[in-house]
Formats: sequence, structure tokens, C-alpha cells
Amino acid sequence: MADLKDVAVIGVGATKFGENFDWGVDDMLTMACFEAMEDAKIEPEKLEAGWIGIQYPFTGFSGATLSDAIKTYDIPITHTENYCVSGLDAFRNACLAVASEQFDMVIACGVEKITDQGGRGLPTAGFGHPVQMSGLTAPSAFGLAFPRHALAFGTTKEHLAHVAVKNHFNGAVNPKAHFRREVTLEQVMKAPIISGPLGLLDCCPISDGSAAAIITRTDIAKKYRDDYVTIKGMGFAAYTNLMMYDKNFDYLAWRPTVKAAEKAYAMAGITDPPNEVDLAECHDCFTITEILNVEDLGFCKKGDGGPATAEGRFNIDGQVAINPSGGLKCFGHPIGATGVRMVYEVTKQLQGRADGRQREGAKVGMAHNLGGLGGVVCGVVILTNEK
Amino acid sequence: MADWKSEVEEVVFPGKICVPYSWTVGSTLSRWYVQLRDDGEIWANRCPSCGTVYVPPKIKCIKCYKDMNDWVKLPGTGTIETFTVVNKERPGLDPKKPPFVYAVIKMDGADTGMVHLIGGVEPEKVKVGMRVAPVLEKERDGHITDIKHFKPIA
Ligand SMILES: [Zn+2]
Repeated sequence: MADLKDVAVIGVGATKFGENFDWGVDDMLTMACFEAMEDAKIEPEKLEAGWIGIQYPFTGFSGATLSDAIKTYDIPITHTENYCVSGLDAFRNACLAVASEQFDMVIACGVEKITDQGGRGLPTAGFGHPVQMSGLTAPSAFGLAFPRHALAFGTTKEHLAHVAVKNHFNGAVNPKAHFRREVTLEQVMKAPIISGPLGLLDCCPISDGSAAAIITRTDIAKKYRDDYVTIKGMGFAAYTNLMMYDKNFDYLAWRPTVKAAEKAYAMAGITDPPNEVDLAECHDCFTITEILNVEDLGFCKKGDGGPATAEGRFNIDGQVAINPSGGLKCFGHPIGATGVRMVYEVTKQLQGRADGRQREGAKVGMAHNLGGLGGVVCGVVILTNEK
Repeated sequence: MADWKSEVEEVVFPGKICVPYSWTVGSTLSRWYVQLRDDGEIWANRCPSCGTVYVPPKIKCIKCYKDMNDWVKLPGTGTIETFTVVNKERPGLDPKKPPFVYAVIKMDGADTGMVHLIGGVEPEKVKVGMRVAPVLEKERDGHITDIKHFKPIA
């Protein structure tokens, strides 16, 4: 059996993210998957298996959502659902299948069509626990982390705003980003409050979109391109939907991020993350989410997330480039597509093909994907261009 | 694909759904809701192994996986662990008109946090560590909103 480190990405594709009212699920999947196959220089007949990340039932059920779009009839295709990590979990399962040598060439993709579904914001009816999490929306659930972080470490609303300013600065030059504009600190601070302290510009948008990646073994990858990227580390963790039942839950860290990162760093042999990782696509559904995540990923000390961001340590040319794509905040967040879109960005960065937003000399990049109200599940994938 | 609408008229299907649904709260929460509805009391259950007290109650301890048949009546008071002020309205979905406060309340006599509304106070005056007590509805029907909200106490 091969090893996860023998798994390579040889092609990536993504649609523009945004309010894609003109495009249906099939349209977006077709665009992303064929772009990935063209990038890998393979035909659909080459694909032996597929995984598709979708969170919401109105987007689609089952593996046939993918085969209906790209007409890969009869191969096994699995639908993965794992909250906002649905896409990165599709990628993880595809990588494990290739490492097992059951398949030589597979596709991992994700898609979500959230506009036109009839509700406002992310649908929450029938979602989550009817008693314990009654009525909490995503901004409310993540907003709960702020008062505790502020008391423990002095984090301010202005620290949060710096996350939005940085990610919009990066995403403004990204042709596929939902928003292609910068925002100022003042605009973020003055935006209408959604759920305190999170204002409109502290929240990622409701987006449609799709992304895809073609995955194979390194010995096969060499026949397709020289600049393939490989898996260096991978870790996943599921915690609980009901963290309030955990006596030790303190709102100061996302536990699944900590646990998934521990596993990924151990596999990658990384002991000093800020000096060994060049860039990270880091889950920033809300600005407070990124602040805790950069600490939990070890990119700065616990409690330093706000000041470190404000000082520019996570700018595109900082110690670690956090969200060079623009992140969920600016690039957008079609739930099931996001994890694969992170792999898309990290791959482009490691191939030196991230036009206008390139992290110079990038060798090691991370996709970090967190899901669930208040940090329930997490995936961390570390990719490298070092052979 | 972006300019396809110059070639053909876009057809949009206007769908409409109505989704009333029911959800059993199960054996343990049914006991809890009956106490709340009929007697206006908030109860919790305790793990016989590690002693952790859960509110709302669970069937089994999340640490020891032991059945928890040991019920304790709580005084109802508690302390705000953290909170958020909801300002954006979601018509038809919110429990009340914004701005309103969701908080995680550490209930006296229990070890777990409980999500509920804070009322009887200006949202901007809510603080971590604030002491609160429940305000119950007069007409109760066995729902989490039988507790109208928690209000600050001295
Ligand atoms: Zn126990």
C-alpha cells in the first residue's frame, strides 16, 4: 500500500464564487470539474472514483449529483457531508482511496447553491439541537466567543476588523472572488451589527460556487506534470455539537482545530508552524473565527491573534500569509465547495500560478477548514511542492 | 457561459414550500419539560460515576457513558458565561424582535452551560459574570420558551 505522502494533486478548478443566479448546480460542477481535468490534462474516462462535498439537501443528494453533471456513469461516487468541512472531507476520502491503491485517478469536488433556496442567510430550521442550541444562528454561535476572548486577552473589535481588511485586500485582486474590493478599517467598524460584536463586514457572504481537484499517486503524477503538489500532512477531528455540555469548554479555542492540527503537524514533521508553513487558507467564516484559529494552529501564541493580525504578521508578505485568496470573508463560502476551493488556492500558490496574490517562494501551504456552530469538526491538509 | 442570456430567455421556476415539522424530545427531555410545564421547575440529572450535573439533562454522561437516573432540582439561578446581541432580524424565525441577547448560562448546581435569552435589561448592559434568574411564562406548553428569558438579579 502506498502512503498518504505518495498522493499528489495534478489539476484544480473553480468557478467564480458569488451570487451566481445565472448558474445551476450542474453548470457550476461542470465548470469546476472540467477546468480541473483540463488542468490535469485528463479526459473524464480516466476517472475511477469521485467524492463530492455538499452540505444542504437543496443543493443535491448522493454521488449522482456529480455523475449527472459530468456524465461519469458507473464509477463509485460518494457524497460527503460534514458541515463546512464537507468539501475538505471529500478531498480527504479521495486521498485515502488513492493511498490505498484501490484507485489510480480520482476526482474530489464540492458545490453549494445557496441563493434561490428560499430562505435568508444560512438555513437553520431543523438544523442543530432543538433545546441546547435553540435559535442560534452562525453569527450568534461564533459571536459568543468574543466576550470571553476579550476578557482573557484584551482582544478588541478593531482587532477583528483587521482580519476583514487583510482578507479583502488579498481577495480584491482575485478574479474568482465573490467580492473584488478592499474595505477600510472604518467601514468594518461602522458596518451594521448582525450579532454583537460581529458586524456585516465581520461575516463571510452567502455564496454559490464549486471547486474540484484531480488526485493521483506521485509515480503517476510525474507523467502528467512536473509541478504537481503532494500531501505532507493531514488531520481531521470531530468534537461535539453540544460543547456547552463540556465542562472544560472555555470559548477561547476551537478544539477540533487544535486536534486536527496536532495530527497534521505530527505527520508532516512540523514543530515550528510559523517558520515552516508559508501560507494557510484558514477558516474565516467570521473574523473572530480566524483570530482563534491562527492561535490554535500555532501561528502565534494563544491570545496574540488580534495584535499579530493588526501588526501585519499574517499579511501576504508577513510571517505566514493567512488567506492569500481572500478567504471565506472575501472569496466567498459556498459551504460544500469551500474545502476544495482551499486546496485549489494552496495548489496554485505552490505552483507559482496565483496571479497578483502570489506568496513569493511558497513551499508549504495549508488548507484549514472548520465546521459547525462554534467549531464542531475540522480538517487540516498540508501540501508541499518539495519533492 | 456567462453571456448565455443574450441568446435565450432565462426561465425561472417559482417554487413554494411550507414545512411544519415535529420532533420528539425523547425520554429524558420529556421528563424535564413536564417538570417545567406543570411545576415551573428546572431540573437536572447527575452522573452516578463522575458526579457531573447536566442541564438540560442527557440520557447518558458524555464522559462516562453511564445512565443518569439521579435527578436534582435546581434553584434556577445562574451566571452568564458569554453572550451575543442579535441585531439582524430573521422574520418568522427569531424568538423575539431584535435587538435581543442570547447567552450561555452556567446554572447554579449544574456543571454545564445552557443557551437562553436574557431579558429585562438593556442589551448593552449585559456582562460576562452577571447573575440571572428565570422568568417563566404563565401559560406553558412544554417548550424551551416556557422560560421566557433570564433576567439579571442583584
Ligand atoms: Zn460521568
